[in-house]
Amino acid sequence: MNKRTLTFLFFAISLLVGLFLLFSPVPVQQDAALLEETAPSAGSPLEIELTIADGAAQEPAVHRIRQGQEVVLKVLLPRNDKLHLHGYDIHQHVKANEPAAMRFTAIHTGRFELELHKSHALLAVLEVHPD
Amino acid sequence: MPKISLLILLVLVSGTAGAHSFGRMYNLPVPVWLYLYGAAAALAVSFLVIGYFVSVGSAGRAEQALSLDFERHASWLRAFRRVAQGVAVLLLALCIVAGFYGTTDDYRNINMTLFWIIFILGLTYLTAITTSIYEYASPWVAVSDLIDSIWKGFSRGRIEYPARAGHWPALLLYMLFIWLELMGDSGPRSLAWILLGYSCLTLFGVWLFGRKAWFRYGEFLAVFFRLIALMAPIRIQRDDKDQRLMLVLQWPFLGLMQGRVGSMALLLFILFMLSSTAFDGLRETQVWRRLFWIDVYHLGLKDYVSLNPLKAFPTMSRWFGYWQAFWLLMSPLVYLVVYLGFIALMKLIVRSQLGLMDLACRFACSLLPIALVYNITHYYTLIQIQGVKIVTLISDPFGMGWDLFGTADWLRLTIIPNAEQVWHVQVGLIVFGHIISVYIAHLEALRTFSSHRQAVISQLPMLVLMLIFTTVGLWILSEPIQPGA
Repeated sequence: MNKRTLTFLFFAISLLVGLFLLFSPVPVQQDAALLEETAPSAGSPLEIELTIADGAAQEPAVHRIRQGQEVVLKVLLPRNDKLHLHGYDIHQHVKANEPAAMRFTAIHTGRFELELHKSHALLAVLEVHPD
Repeated sequence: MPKISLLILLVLVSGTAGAHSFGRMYNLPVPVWLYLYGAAAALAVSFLVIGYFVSVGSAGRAEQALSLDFERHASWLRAFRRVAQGVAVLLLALCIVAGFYGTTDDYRNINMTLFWIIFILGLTYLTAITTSIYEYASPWVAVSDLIDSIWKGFSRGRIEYPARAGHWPALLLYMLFIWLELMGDSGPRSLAWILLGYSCLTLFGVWLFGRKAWFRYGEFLAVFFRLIALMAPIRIQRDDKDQRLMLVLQWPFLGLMQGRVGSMALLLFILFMLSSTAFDGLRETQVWRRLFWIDVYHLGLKDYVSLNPLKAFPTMSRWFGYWQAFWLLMSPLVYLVVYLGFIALMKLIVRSQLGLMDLACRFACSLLPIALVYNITHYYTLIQIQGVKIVTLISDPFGMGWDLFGTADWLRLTIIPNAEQVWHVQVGLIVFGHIISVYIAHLEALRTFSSHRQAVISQLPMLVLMLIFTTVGLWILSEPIQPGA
């Protein structure tokens, strides 16, 4: 590789790094604001209520969660079913018309589907965003 | 009537369907700032590449390859081919047998992971970074050679391959394959049928047109892997002069300069590599789902199907299938129109004497790096999540509770990719692929046009075209995903 190519490579890499630094968000303030949105008081788990009435159609909601947040999924179903949180692979049996709660800490980031295995229905999608 | 929209019904019905033939995507949409960064970086570096070629004046010596005499190792290569083909045939047979006799659970039957992830994705990426492995390990070449050793003259061909047909059979089979992958009834059983059917079709093609013609023009996987292998750093080939076996080492991607796209069918094949991956990403987004289920429905479809969403749903679902298939098959034509538009612009500004199709074919290979990075960014997490489970599956290929090699209990937990890492890899790769494509197109321009000035200005339209492809790829990655998609 000659000198000129190396100079251009140097410029290209500096440009890519420079742009990255320019575009990447400043984390401090934004984070504090977002944290308030999802966790009203620090330390208390985030409660998500999912109630399915028999026969009603309801779009599975997408819930945004911050990484590290403790989550309690409160579920009420019209029929006996098995709840499965994909990725985290948490399974839980839920009895008809009996409130049930699934607790976990959102340590992994990504999109995770909460599925009812017996009725093959998608209950919700949890999006765990990086801290 | 409760307030139910058609989109909600779609989500509820397709709730458990996988995004692809199989494999669950854990990817989050890329955040907006990273998307903007990717687009800006692609734009800025493109101009730097132009600047480089303005000042360098020639392609330099980058294209030169290191050729080593490999004749001494020819027997080693033959032995490797034999072993690789043997393994490939066994694995193909395993995929078919496991599909018919094993469990119907996608995740516990080895054939889904082995074929879709290890073979289709894994081998593509491995080929791009090493060499044309499929050339040595095609199970179908092996089977046809085996038949030929018993039934002399089997693969000689009965009729001459019609020159006009060119690569069209490969293109049509590739489109059918992607349609089956994305929209077909997926599962271990249907995969076994597909593989069995494809094996019969391939052998019939070899019997009818001969081994050479069919593996060159009809067997689409051979065509696909040959295009991917153009980007690989290692090539083994016969010397033009004395026919000695040579091992050629080259900078990655520069082998694209050896690629020859001689027909519309092959050009469409390359464009379909780009457009099918883009389409697969697009159809998971909210924008795409809402377009049909809300916009098209309200624009007039509701008068034909039904005003009542519950009644309209079955008809709409069927039409949605046709609609999706239509756009998948039309996607390479959409890309072709855009591509030819920019090639025409290039022809116009440099006042080239070369024909439009000639120019279009010359620059086609420079699109392959973008196609490769689209594919990797879209699917690589499947290797991390499901591909590694091959270790477990090999001990229990039929999903019957066996433990042949003592690995059946390994890797029980899903290895979930970290969202931030995935985002950075995705955007980084797309920008990288873009840079390589712009660079290759420049080298091609220097070869095609007589004056240096012509070569440089010819690349302005190409640059805009590649920025469009790159930004579209990034945009799809950044779009919110429809629940249940």
